[in-house]
Amino acid sequence: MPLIEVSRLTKVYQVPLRQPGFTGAALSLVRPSYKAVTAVDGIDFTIQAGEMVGYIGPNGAGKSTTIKLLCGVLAPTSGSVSVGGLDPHRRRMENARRIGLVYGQRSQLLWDLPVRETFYLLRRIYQVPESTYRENLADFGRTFEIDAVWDTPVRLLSLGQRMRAELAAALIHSPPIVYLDEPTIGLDVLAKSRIREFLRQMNRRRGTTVILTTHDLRDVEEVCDRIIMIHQGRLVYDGALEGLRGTFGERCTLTLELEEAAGGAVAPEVALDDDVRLIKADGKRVELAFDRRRISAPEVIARACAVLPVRDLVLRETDLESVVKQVYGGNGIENGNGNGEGRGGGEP
Amino acid sequence: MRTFGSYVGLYLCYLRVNWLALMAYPTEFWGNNLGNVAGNLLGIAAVGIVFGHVRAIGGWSFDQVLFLYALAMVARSLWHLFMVNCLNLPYYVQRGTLDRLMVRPVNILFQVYADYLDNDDWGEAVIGLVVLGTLSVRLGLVGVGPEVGLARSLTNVLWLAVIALSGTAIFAAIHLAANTTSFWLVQAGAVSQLVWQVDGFSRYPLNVYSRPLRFVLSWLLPFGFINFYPAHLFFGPSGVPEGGGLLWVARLTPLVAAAAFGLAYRFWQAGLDHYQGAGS
Repeated sequence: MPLIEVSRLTKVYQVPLRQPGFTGAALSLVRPSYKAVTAVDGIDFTIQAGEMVGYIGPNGAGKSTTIKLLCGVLAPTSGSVSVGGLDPHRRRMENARRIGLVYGQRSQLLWDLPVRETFYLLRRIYQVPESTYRENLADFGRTFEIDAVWDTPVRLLSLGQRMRAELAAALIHSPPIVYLDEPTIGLDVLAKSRIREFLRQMNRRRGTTVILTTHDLRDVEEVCDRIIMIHQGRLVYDGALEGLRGTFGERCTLTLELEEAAGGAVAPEVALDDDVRLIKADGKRVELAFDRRRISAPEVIARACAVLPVRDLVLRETDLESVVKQVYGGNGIENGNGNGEGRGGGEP
Repeated sequence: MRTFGSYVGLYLCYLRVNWLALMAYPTEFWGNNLGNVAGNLLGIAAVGIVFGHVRAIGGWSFDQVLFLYALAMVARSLWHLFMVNCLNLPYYVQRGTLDRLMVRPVNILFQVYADYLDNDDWGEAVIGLVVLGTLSVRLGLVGVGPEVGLARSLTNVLWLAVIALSGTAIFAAIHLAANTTSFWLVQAGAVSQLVWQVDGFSRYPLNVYSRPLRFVLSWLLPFGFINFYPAHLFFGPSGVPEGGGLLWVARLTPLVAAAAFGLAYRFWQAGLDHYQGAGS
């Protein structure tokens, strides 16, 4: 049985409409009017225990709303959520014992006090048994380096230290499920990669189920084995990271620098068929995309060099970011899984 | 399930955290409390100034009015010291901080109260207790001599404690209800501010006000049950302007307090449901 089951989940917010001016304000007191905004629109997915899932989508896609529904903060408008067999909204307290929540932008640490005070308090809040508490602290002392900052007031921590403390705090009651909302936001590259490493360790050692929302797709690439992508409240992709690339994106991009401006007139000669696609021809710069499973890189380069005065070239694998951009660019959303390779789209 | 005992333990832990945080800013603590002491002394002085011109207000003597005043001070300060954070409810709702409380296995309102104590009202608590104690002796409600009697003293002290706690619950109910409106209104601060203004009426005996205002202060925003009605328990039929007729109302005080808080709590729960988008 899956740990998390979401079916036909829909959340409609009633957003109050306010008329301008004093009369409008007075009127809205007497007869408030509302506008319905659908944040989550009939989403289905299931998550097994121990999975690490990246939940991604642009701002306003409905990510936070989904997390709130999973946590029991919001009640669904229709459809259902079940977490470990419980309705998280109706059985808020029981559900709360099983989840850990980390907000990148909202701290749960006690700002003016040494780190240890937060842990004393959380221990009481979650009624963590003495033995579990000690074990976890010993563990965090090693993996999250909590020992070093134990007596330091939270306001004096670096952002990276704070995020590690934040993670440890969210795990002090050994929750089987952890929701992370932008856990690496604002961190430098090194701190980011450490947080990712901690997440992988946590999953490996404790079997913790991780649901991660993020804007930094590197987080997803390095941590998650599965992606759920939503756009405008609807699910647009659910599956392996590799599948997302295969479904939505060409795998390689070749950027050519030319001796002289070739322009759009010459460049298309390289992209003769579906295998190689012209993304951009902009003066001395030409960008080509191709699927490595259908045509090899040397072949594309050879073809380009034959017709264009190439001075320099850069070859890179399509990263998730550009794949996602392509998805949100408007193609392939309507028909869910898209129609495989060789589709047009991308840059206009 | 969480037991009552575990809530007590958790509350002590919250107190500790709040007091430690307070010690991080000692100047702020002393500044706020000195200001508070000054404000409360001025309030009492104002009563004195009024009685420099009149001998009684609505049939109540200077000592009796001060007694009422001090009763409200004690109740208000107890509420302020332990439950003031419900005034921040509008911010919790607007900034989404409430979500953080909702993902913890603890009653949400308990967390709102325990989350932050400003510790700014110790002055009112101390002055209120001193004034209340002094006047209880001067008005012959409590004493060690034979003229009051041990039994009567004890009964009065017990009633005073019950009345003070009931008053705390009434303050809590009124402010909770006022701030719960923030689940529906963006400008809930205005409602809360209005209630604070109405609190000012509790400084003088209700019988000086017009009928409609008296009704409001008795049954809608029951500030009257903080000091005016319960005072009838102590002064006897000849000692109060409206005679013994209100004694039975005075005895209802703990029930009124419980009912008021119960109603406010139901309202709060409806607000939470609205916030979560459950039901209607």
